[in-house]
Amino acid sequence: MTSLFKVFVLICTFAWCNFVKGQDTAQPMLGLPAPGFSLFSVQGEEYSLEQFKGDFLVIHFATTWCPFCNAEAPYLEELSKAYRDRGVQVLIIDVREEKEVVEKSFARFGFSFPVLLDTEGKVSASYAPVGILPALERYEVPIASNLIIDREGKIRFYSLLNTSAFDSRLVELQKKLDELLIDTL
Amino acid sequence: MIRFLLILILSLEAQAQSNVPVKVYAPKATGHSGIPMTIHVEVEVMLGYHIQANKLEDDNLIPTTLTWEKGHGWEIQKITFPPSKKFKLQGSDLPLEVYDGKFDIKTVMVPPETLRKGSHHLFGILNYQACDSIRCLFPRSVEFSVLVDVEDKEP
Repeated sequence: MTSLFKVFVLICTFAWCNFVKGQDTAQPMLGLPAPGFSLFSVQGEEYSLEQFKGDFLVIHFATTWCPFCNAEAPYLEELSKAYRDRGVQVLIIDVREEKEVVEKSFARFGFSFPVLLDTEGKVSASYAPVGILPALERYEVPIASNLIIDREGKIRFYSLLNTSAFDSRLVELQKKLDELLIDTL
Repeated sequence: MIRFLLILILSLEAQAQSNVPVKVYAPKATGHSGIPMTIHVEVEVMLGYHIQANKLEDDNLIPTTLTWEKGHGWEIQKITFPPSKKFKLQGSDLPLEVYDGKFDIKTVMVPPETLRKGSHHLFGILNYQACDSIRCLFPRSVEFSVLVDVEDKEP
């Protein structure tokens, strides 16, 4: 009986620890200022976070070999077209790949928004929440994630850990975007 | 019982914290010089992860590959990967071809005719790109070795 009780306590402790961990990790960095960046696009134009202030900004961290990113790509383009007139800008930040590779691979999607090159992964690493997924390289953490940054430059949505399946259709992001647009009317 | 549960819990935690979601094990093999033999490479993908298959329709994705160190006269005749599984990604028309769980890669090799009898080490590299249900990791490699006992050619 005592052993059974100990087993029960052990299982409860494990479940509680995971629950607390989950609470901490769902939608990290919300409300924090988005880390600044200045990156060149595939077309060679320089973009900084600062210049998007006043608009909502959707950022997707991607690589050309990431199957989730590629599945999301057409929906990201749709979203960009649908929300552009409502003050929403979209960016892809490609992580640690050569310009030629990115240019060739992403040409098939015909993106109408900028694809920025984070060739050293420093910007990606700056979006890796402290203490989350510590075993991974920091630049690796945000890959395939989507963020919404508000008009003041604060993070309002971060899909890093909050879903059990990859949301390539951007359903949750779009829902949040609609909420934010209504709130700020 | 409690000790067993503790070990189980700790190992699950350790797995979750690992940045290497794939383990490779190549059991000792025995063959004869000049005669084709099969070497098995056992791969284990951590629970919750999958890796891209060896044959992929999308050139942009990174396939799982196995390469053997060249030299010493060993002839690699054929490398056979298991059939892939379909991973349906929400919002995508084409399912991904992946491996998960445990699987075996078979390599048919021929030890050189002149190889002396005894134990020999062969070195290989498994390259893969893993994803879980919501995120993808950068490509990784696992280096491994297999011990092969070579006996004299049978008369």
